[in-house]
Amino acid sequence: MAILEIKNVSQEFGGLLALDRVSMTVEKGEIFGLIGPNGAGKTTLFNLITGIYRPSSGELWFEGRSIGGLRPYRIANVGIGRTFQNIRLFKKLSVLDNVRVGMHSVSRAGFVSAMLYTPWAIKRERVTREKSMALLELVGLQDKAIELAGSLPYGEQRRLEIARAMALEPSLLLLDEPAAGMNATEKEELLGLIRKIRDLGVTVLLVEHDMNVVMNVCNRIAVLDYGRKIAEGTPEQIKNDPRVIESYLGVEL
Amino acid sequence: MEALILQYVDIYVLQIMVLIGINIILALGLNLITGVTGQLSMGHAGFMSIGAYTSAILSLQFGMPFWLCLMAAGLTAAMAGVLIGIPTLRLEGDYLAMVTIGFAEIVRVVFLNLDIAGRGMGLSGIPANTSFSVVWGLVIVIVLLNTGLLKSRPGRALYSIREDEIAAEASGVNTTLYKVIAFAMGTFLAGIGGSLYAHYLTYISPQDFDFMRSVEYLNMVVLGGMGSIPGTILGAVILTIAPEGLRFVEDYRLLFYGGLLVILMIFRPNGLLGDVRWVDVKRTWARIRGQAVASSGSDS
Repeated sequence: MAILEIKNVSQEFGGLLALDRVSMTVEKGEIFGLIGPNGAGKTTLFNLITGIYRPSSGELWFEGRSIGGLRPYRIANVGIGRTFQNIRLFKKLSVLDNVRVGMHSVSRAGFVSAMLYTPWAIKRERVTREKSMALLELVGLQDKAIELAGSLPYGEQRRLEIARAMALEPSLLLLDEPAAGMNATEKEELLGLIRKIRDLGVTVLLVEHDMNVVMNVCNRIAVLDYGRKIAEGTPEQIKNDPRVIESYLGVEL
Repeated sequence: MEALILQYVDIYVLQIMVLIGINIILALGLNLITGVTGQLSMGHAGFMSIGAYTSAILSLQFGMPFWLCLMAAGLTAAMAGVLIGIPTLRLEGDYLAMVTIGFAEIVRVVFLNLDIAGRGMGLSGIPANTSFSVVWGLVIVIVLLNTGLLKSRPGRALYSIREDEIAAEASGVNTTLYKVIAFAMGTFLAGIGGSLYAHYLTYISPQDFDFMRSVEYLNMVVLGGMGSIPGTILGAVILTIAPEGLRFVEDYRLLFYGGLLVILMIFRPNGLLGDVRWVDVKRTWARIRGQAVASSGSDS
């Protein structure tokens, strides 16, 4: 069953065609990889899905509803979470608070009930705190809950961003180069985390440059080059596709 | 209440205490907008004057009771805030700063030319309804409401907008709505402060609400700590007392303020209490006590 359908999407920035009639379908429950050289349009596609851009043409469908052009907070509300290529944490807030902000659309305590310390708001706060701590445990950061997010080492900051995105209780999680800057051990742990997330029922769409990560964990992969989709298939198929090898993977000497 | 206090201190000190209270209310309002949500507002005095004039006119011309004037002052200022907030705050970037500078000037010139506002002469004989208890009663209520707000979901959402607006949106926060709400709340408090001010000094004129006034409130928030309630209160206390205590530098006041800000930006860019978190205070205290115990105990 398709969870995300991208139909003939093009994105123009002035005279530059960043995406050229791209179509793909992500099935529910799979881990789908998006690869390609820098500038191919991968992050542009992410930004389109998450509402930062509005598509110049084409349609985007999520769980049967059209999401093209919706504002980012509405996209978050329908159940799409994301991490950012160059980590956008709330640096001066605590680790726990970062995750709790992610729970914004899940908890519903409003301004008035917060200011008046109503029992209902207090109860929602407790639920938010418990769920957030559980997410920190999922990524292994529970001991750092009260530390400032900006004080975490790089790898932990990436994990925190994933925890924050998971706080949305999303059906689809977009990971933008989650392995960037990680060493081999961290990448192994990341693979484990991604599989755990998939096992929790979340579909994962992954942009990544590290082929070990991609080939190891993805069910299917799509390849973008100069804004066009040039191949789609299983890791085996992609590894051996001549167009992909020529444009991105490279030939063995 | 005031009689009780006057048994211990000079009436001059009492007046300062009332002014401190009024400034705390105004500074807390600006803290919500600029310190917590990160939207730089440089026209706080404009909203203060809307509150002051609204309250004074309703009281003088229509004889309305004080509490009604007070509420009307807050609401009118908040409505003005929403009016200029909605078109401005849906943009990403620091446009609010420019808009608020312009807005405050427009407001000042409008009142300067309105007959009902007394034009250049201003309004005098405003009923002196502001007392120590009224002001500090409101301060306590406002601090409680603020604290409740900032420790919960909507408060975190506001902080997240300051930290990273794009990430906040991606986390489900309707940033435009929340920015406007924060601005409305901050300007509401400015209106309340303006009304209290008018009914305390019993005389207001457009000069009372110039750009320097806006800068003073911004200084209180920046000095005390952006986003911190105790910090903002500290900033308001210091900067209300300073002009009085430093009367001998009266002519050099601007120099003093400028110098203070420069020193602050070098050594504590986030204000005196801006980086201080309650959890860090607790940990430091525990460490001090732990060391005290270790050094006073016998060899282990």
